[in-house]
Amino acid sequence: MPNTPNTSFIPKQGPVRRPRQAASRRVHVFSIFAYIAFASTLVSSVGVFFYQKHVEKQLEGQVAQLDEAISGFSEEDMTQVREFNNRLTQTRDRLEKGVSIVAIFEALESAVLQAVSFEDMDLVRAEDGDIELQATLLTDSFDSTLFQRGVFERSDIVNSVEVEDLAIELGSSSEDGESASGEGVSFIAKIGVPAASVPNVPRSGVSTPDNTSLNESENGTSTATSSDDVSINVEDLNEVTL
Amino acid sequence: MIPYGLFSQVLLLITSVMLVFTYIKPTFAEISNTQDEIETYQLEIEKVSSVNSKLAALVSEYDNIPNEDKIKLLTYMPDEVDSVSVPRDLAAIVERAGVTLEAVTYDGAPEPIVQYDDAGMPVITDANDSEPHNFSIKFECSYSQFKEILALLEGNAYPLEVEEMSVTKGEGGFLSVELQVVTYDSIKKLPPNPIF
Repeated sequence: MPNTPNTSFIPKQGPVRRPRQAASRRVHVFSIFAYIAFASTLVSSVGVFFYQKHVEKQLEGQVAQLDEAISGFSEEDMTQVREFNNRLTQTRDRLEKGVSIVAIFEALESAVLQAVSFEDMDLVRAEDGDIELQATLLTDSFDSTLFQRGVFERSDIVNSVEVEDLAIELGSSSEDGESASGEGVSFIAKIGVPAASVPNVPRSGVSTPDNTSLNESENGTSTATSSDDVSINVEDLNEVTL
Repeated sequence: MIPYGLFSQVLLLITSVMLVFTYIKPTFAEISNTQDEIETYQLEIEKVSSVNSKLAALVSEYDNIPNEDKIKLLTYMPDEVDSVSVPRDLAAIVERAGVTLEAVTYDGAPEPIVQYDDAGMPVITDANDSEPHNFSIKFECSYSQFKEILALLEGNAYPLEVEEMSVTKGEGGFLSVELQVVTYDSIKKLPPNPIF
């Protein structure tokens, strides 16, 4: 039947363009995302590779610098400085702890009464450096003993006085019955002298055995004293651990 | 059926993810570790450099001290006490005061207080302490001579400290004196290891 007229009461569907499927558009977005992800991963990989090389090179540089710094350290110099510092510290310590026995005797000379005489004397330096002096003294009376104790107690260099073993000494008599040496009171005095009250200050005008003047010793002392300014502190150096 | 395009895209994504997890992430971790090491090395370099500069300053300071003073310091605190020259000096001091020395003895050095570590190695608690050496002298003299001897001992070029003293009045006003004198050296001698 040629040229059939469009007379059907049922309308025919015309040539309609098929609408673009949404799925097709999704595929494009996904592919763009996939390409970008892959490309950026590749770029990142290359970047990370080169950055790693750069960091490793930096580390090698640091290792080389540390080796150089360590090789610049002189163990010999360190030993020399430490030994000197140690000697200086010990010397300062000894100078600070030094006491003058002469100063004690001079103080005793001004503190001993005319009526008192020393029979014997023992002196010991305690562990803390203070001086313990024990002397047997002879006086003419108890009053002198009391007065002597008071004078010792008031002395600037004495921090403790104990009087012990008080005894009356009977004088030896001569043939005619008169006392030859007289009566007296003997006692033992224990005197404590703090080291700080009698520091050893070198004096001038005294010479040492090898014909060198005491100035040498004074200089020696002043060396150590002036070495306070040259204090070498190696404590910081000890903190280093390689 | 999956189209070829979609398959390749999924493959690309999977490859990217694999790259991230198998290369980029571990490499980042390595880089982080390396950077930590670099930081540690930098700190150590700073410390070593600081030590080197301090040491150089101290050596320079040491070099600037006159040799004369160094010798005096070495005389005052020697490495080792000579057990012959000290009695000789003591005898000379006593003779200088016009007194004859009756006896002089070297009593040695007291045992240092030593503790032992876990390995049995001796450890001295205070290494800064100098080591004492005791000498005893005995003489008879007048009081003024005694004071002169004490002054000479106190003014010596190295320490001659009176640690103990015993004075007894003798006949004719003379004093019988016994002194224990201490001098020091710098080097502390460790006792032998008790294990070996």
